[in-house]
Amino acid sequence: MHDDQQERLRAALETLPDEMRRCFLLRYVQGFDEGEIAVLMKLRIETVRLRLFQARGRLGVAGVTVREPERGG
Amino acid sequence: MSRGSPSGSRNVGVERLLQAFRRKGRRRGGDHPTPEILAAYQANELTADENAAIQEHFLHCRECPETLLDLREFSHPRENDTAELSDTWLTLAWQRLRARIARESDRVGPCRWVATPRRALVACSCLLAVLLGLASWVAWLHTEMRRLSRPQINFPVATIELGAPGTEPLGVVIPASAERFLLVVVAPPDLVGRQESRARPPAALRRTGSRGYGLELVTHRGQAVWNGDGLTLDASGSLTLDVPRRLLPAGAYRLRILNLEGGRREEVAARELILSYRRASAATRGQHPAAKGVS
Repeated sequence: MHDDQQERLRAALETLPDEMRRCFLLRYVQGFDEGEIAVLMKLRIETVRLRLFQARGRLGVAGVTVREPERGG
Repeated sequence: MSRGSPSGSRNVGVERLLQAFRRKGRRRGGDHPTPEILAAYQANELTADENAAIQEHFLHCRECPETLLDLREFSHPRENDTAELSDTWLTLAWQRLRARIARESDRVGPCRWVATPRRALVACSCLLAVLLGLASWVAWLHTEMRRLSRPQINFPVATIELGAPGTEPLGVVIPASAERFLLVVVAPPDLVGRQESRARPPAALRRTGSRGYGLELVTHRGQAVWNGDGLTLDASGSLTLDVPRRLLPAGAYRLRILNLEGGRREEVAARELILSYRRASAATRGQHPAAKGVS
């Protein structure tokens, strides 16, 4: 990933609410699935899915394209 | 900012661990939360700030989320989960199962084949079929015995007057009857036309002085269908015998009269016969069935 892209991603992540950001990073950086994120964040799995959807939307607006990662980052 | 401890009775040790965890710098992972802290986090015993700190730590650490997930699995196992079993446990379980199978086999014994419901049903069906067959056969035997023991009346009578020896076969028409036996009266040839000598045995038989005669019926192929020994002449000089009808289907036969004196079987008279059966008509029903074969 290029530096400008990383900076753009970092800036976009900073704009996300904490809960949404943590869900996004646990999913697309750490590689946990939605059920595991629900346990780690003590949320319902439907809420996790909603937060991820919202995060992808907001990052997409910011010009950041997200693809599904493999487990383990 | 802490929102206050959710539980006033939180463990002092956990509190100290949390303080140490905070001092190590939670944003960069820093020192990892202990399993006790993770357990407290899972049990909702931490404040909101402490929860946030641990969640931030999860973003930069791989081990602690895995540990928390393991704690979660241990305390809340899923229904479809199967625990990994050790080889020793599997071996012991297999030995116990084999021993149980051996005990079950010994207890069942000879009835092992019908252990399953389907086999038992098949066995019972076969046994029932055999019993029904036997019962039917016994009933038929009883019926036959009653029928055979019932005195037979209205014997169909076939009177065979041999007459003079001839080459043409003698036609004998026998009335059809439901009875089992056929009464055959054989008049030897010497008695035909001489009514006055009917009370005397025929010359051929008188000459020998035999007390026993034999009579044979053979097919045109020479196969014997009936024979009787020890026959004696009646008052009219005839030989009377009863023959099962089933032995005399319609067809050609040869009738032989034998002299049994001295243990010999000497033919003294013979004649070719053609037997046929006539169904009783409405006019003749109820009358005494009689047939004649006259040469």
